[in-house]
Amino acid sequence: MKTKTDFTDSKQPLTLEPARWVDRYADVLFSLALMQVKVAVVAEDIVQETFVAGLAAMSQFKGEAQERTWLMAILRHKINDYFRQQTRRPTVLLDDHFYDHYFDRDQDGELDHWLATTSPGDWGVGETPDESDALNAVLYACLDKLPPRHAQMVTLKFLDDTKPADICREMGITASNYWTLLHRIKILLRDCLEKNWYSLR
Amino acid sequence: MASFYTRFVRLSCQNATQLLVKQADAPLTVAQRLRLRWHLRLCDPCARFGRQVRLLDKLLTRTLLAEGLQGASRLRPERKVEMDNEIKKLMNG
Repeated sequence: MKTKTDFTDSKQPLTLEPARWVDRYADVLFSLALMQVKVAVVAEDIVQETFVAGLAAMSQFKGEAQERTWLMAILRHKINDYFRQQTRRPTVLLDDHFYDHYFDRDQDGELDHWLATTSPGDWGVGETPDESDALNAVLYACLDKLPPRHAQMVTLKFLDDTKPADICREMGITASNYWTLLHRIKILLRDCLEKNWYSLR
Repeated sequence: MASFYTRFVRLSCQNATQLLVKQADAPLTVAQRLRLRWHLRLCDPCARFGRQVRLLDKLLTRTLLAEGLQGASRLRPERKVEMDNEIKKLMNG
């Protein structure tokens, strides 16, 4: 798997040192898993399964990726396995009334304009985010509040830089689901950032 | 009967924001681009939405790298010990 993270930390070795895995990566993998599966004990199990699978697959490690990147790829598959095992639930839970929290309806009952309460306000900034750890923390909290599978898509798309067609295949969703989910993610995160950061400054 | 305007020109804010999101990932048709451009000239909230989601895209990559990869959440120490023991057991077995 190629990710944007490959070159971010050149200090990490290109060999595997399982004896150091927990010390080095347990919190990182747990944070990524928790954001997506939401339940701490499930995230813990997924991290443990990732380490065990990593040990079993050590002979396949070719030293081309950072150790962390390699473990993150295994984690990604374990998270996907978890969602796929939830077969009794629809693959992606989409709330039918979602858009009514954001848009009014015209006389034919079709979704129309922004509601005054959720209409995008003026943030007073350009398109470049300011450098702020506090802003990162606010956005991370917003990601944490996303409904199931939304954060999985965000991680695949923005951390792993996965192409839309591959995200559809991996998540088992249609292209139409993909666009709907992405639209909802951006509406939710934009609203959350406005309420918890930009309108407070 | 719907007028030419409502059928071919008018775009709801819901549709306009869908197109704005899609535009970041995939090319729109010429008709979609024209309708979107027309809508954004008349609709300040959607124009702001467009700018803000472009900012959001940049911010997401940065935040995921910073928070996700620094371990924003902490695994319970007792569970870490358990994992470490399992790894060492498997390495020696």
